[in-house]
Amino acid sequence: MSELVRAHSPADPLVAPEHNWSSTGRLVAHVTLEHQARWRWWIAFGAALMLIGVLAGSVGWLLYEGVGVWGNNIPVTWALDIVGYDWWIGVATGSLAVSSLLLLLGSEWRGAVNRLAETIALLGVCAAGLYPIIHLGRPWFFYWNLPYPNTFLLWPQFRSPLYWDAIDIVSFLGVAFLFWFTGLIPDLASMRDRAIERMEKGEGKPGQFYRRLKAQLYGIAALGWRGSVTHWQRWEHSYRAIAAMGLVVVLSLQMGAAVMFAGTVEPGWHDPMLPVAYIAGALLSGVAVTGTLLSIVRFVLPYKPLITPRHFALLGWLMLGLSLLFLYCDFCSFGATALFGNDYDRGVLSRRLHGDHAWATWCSVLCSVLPPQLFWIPLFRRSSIVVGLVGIVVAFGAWCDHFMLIVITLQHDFLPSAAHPYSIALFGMATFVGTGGLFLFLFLLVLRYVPVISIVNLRWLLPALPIRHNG
Amino acid sequence: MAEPKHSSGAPLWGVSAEFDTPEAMLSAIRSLKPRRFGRIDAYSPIPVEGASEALGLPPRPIYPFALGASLLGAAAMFGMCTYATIWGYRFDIGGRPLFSWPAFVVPSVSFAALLGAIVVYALLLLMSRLPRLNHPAFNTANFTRASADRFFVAVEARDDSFDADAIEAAFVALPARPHAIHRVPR
Repeated sequence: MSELVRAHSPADPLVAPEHNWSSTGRLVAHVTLEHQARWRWWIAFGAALMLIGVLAGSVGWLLYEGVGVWGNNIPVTWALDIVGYDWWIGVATGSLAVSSLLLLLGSEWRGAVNRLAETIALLGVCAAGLYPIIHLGRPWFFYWNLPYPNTFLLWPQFRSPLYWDAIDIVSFLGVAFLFWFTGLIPDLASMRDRAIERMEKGEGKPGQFYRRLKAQLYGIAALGWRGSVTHWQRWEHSYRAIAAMGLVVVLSLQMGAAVMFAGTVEPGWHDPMLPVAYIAGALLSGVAVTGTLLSIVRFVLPYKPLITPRHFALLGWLMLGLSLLFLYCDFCSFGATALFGNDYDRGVLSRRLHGDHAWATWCSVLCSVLPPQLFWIPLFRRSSIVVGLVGIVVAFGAWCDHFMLIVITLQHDFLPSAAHPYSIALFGMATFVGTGGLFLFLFLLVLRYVPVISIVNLRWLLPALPIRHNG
Repeated sequence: MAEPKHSSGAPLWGVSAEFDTPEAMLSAIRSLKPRRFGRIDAYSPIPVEGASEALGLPPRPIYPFALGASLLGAAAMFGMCTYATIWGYRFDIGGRPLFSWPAFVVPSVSFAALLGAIVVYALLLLMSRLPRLNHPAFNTANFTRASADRFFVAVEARDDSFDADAIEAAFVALPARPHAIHRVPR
């Protein structure tokens, strides 16, 4: 438990003791500029490109043939498309919420984690953003969802969840990008200065053109940041204000999702516990994916001194607490339905527990709740491998949770004649795997060109250099 | 007195001293500020607590603008939904109420956050006078280390009374002496 209460301590450091704030910044900049771990990166990039090929193939077939290729039917009009969309949004909102909460609460250990979490939020919503467009049936008319002046003099239907979704995802994308980029500005300035130093050292050697180009591009991206007192004052306030906006948009998205479900007449979507359950589930999957990617980054890039067992222990504690909250929410909503629900609600509950797709329910409960219990044991929560693996299992559990919630309800609502079996189709899975490829592709580019560990936040952790008197 | 010049012949922008620690930077600001040599600014790799107070910068709070912009965003989205459903495009479905406000809440809250974030970001750029491609501070020798491990205190020449020698002497006389002192061309 001591990982939670102690601040930066020499016995269990958040940064390896041989590092000071100059060397941490130089390490991060060096890794980003010099492209170490080159072959590992290229292997992963090749895999990402192949998955993007899968995405292109399945979306191409979808556009040619229609949404039936996903296995969607009447009444299961929302199947893997909305499951995948909700899963990505859950991961994105969860990691954005974690990053902004840690900032607003002043957690000093966020340095190694926050940039990664913000990146997951930004790229996760890019992967999610594909779905609402391609599942429209006629995706080339997606802009009909937005209020724009048009010759038909028509407005969108503001009472429709489709419109809410369009505004939600645009807002989330905007806020996530601004949060990510605002935090990045001083680090980009750091990168610019290291790139200039590298350029000066490389004078007269081959490759100078690219070193200069890199310095110029980082310089443009850094917007002319010089780290003056005025800059820092404005930056700190702005960063915190945008973090607060991030929390608002996360709550709006997750609670909004519950309101959207409740806006239908379908049984099983009207529990007052659902908004809380969605937030718990989103946070859990966000922390899980952050933990997994953190352990991958630690494996691929030479960041072992900066990403320490203490970070994994803290993420482990978070996952543990959130999994218990998730269990509580499930228990409450299942229990309330069993005790007080009407016949249709109880019918959905019984299909969830032992229907055709009961595996989704059991995988959701078992994968989201049981594996994090390993983190009661210090050995496991301090291990990057265990945190990474548990993260994958928990993320799979979150996917099953969305599947249970959407497909099992839609398959059978009020009339026996309206029920129709559904089974997962190959192209539904291929599209989901393809969006994973899109995420991986973008993530690898960020890993390659952007300091994925926040230099400024790391420096806050470390004691200043000793005062040196000249002469 | 003639316009102060750098040794290269370019007009002088200011004199900048390079320190190792935030404490040394703060004490330099505090001791030079009352002596009215010129406009003082400091450049550091991390935010230094107390620096803006030492420089006497006016507190320019960003939070009221964030709140105001969010409320404006919420009102704008809510207002548009209300206008369209009640007046702009009346669509009577079985006599249901036209002003169905609960349906407008979710997009209003999301849009509030978006507008708040955009306004905060715009204010950050506006108040920091960014983006810009160059600034005389970048002419300081060794300035790349302002983003690594050095703290710079610069006194800028704003008029002809600027006395570079006196400022250098003041920097040298500090208890925590600077690592280096640079004259910076504009």
